Amino acid sequence: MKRFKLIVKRVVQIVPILLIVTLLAFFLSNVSSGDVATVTLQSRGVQPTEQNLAAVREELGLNAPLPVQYINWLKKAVQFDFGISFQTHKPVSEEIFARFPATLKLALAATLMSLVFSIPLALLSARYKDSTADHTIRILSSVGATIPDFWLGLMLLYLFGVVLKIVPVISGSKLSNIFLPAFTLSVAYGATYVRVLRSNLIEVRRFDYMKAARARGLGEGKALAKHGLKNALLPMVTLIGINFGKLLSGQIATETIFSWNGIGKFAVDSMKVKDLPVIQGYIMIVSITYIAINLILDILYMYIDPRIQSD
Amino acid sequence: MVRNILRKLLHNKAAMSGLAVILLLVFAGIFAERISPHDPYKVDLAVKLLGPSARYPLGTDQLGRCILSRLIYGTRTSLYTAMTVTLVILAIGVPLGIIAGYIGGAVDNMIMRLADIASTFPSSLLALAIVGIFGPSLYNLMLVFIFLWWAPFARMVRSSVIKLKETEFVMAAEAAGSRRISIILKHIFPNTLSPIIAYATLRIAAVIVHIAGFSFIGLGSQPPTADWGVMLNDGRQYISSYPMLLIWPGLMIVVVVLAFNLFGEGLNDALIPSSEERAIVKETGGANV
Repeated sequence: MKRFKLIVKRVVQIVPILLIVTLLAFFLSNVSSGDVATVTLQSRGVQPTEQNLAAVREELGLNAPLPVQYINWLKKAVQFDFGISFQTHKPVSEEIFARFPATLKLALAATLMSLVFSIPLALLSARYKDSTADHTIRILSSVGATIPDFWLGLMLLYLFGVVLKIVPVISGSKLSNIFLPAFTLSVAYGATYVRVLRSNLIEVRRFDYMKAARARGLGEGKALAKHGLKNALLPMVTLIGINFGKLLSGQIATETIFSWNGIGKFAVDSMKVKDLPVIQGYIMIVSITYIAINLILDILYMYIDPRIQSD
Repeated sequence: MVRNILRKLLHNKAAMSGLAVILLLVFAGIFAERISPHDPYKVDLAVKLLGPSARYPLGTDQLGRCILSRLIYGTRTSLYTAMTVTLVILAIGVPLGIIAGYIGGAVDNMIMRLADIASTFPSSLLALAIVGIFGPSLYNLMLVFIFLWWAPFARMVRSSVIKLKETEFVMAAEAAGSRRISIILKHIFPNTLSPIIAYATLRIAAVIVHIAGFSFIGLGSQPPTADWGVMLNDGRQYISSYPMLLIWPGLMIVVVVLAFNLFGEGLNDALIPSSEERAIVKETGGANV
């Protein structure tokens, strides 16, 4: 029962966030540079005149008071109707959903990669605490968390694309080219995971089940990998999930550098040509995805860690 | 107490080298006019894309502008924006944290809900929205981080205030009939400072990376501003022919961020005795834009 109440509370907390997001997206079309009617006409390739401006205003419902316009806009938004892209002349949601799989693939690959290299490094670091290996790994993870993704991406592209000529400089979103952008994204996250996991593992070593494992004759390293790891990873579920949510919102810089046609690159390219319906749609779709992921994580975590209930 | 902290900090080599780099860069930013060999905005296509020479120590860019001079002026842009943003964040977050912690109740609840929203909102979304509404500029971009990043400070201050409220000296002052405002200024505020000073130093690094990143994708500083992010963006099309255009501004960003991180962590170790609280401050997350 308590758990149910907590879930309801979390859902209610979403309301103000949704209000802010929808207002932001709505005002984007109303306040932003230039009159909406003029911009719409120009996007249709029509020279704005007094008469057709009035007609378009009527057509778009721009003569209604703002709150009414907002409600009308919301009604369309819940059906994912964000209008037509000025740039491609196709429905915005269609355009965004078409690019979503590319972003999803990249997010999955980056998450997987960050775990693949952070888990062994953290195990090594925790097993041989204060050794040279531990110090090296800690320095590496500090540096990894410091290098901005946009610069790392450029440098990797230079190294592998220009110097070694292993990958094309302008790659496009073919699956065979996913390695570099995914690696670029995974470095900063992986570096954080190494740090968190290492300290969790060191914490976990003191617990009884580890003593029991050692008593059964398991070596320190094996005991840590077999029994310690699971318990050390559990508190990281939320962190990994939140980062996955961030990755799904489209990694603008990395997608741009590697010409990866995901939603982040689409949003920024649309910004350059002031394609406002796309920006609106992007903000709405991404924030809803993000909110949903966070909610699922919260609920999931209540089941993983029952202590949360006594919030 | 203060002497102890200073001694600890002075013996921390990493923190001191971080501080040395920071001071050097602040100096370079303030005296940019004096130490730059050239005007960072002077276009001269006759000397474009030159390698390093006595005249242009780091060479010139695609418009014949001196790279070294642009890097030095970029220091000014970067440090000025990051420090301004951090100060404004502190000016918002600290009072809100004190109010939430000291008054409690519905006020506390409201401030903390706002903090929840601010800390879960992805910065790239707000950046696109604000830049979409007001147009791309460095100042609009600064607003994004001011809107979002006051929240952790409010949270940290609030939790220290709640602890402090229960201490004997605050209760004694209350019993003696001191005014609320004087209790806050005399007893509460000074004792919340240690953790936020360390965290603010680390945040400066985060602001620098994010602002450079958004300028790189065209949502922040606009060309021809001498800004590291803009320089990276300009250099992108020369990745195969003149990679140094990309290497220098990136190195500057990494060096500055590393310096603030080293100094911030040193401050953190010196100022905060318990390792548990230290860990909270260190949880700064990745540098992805």
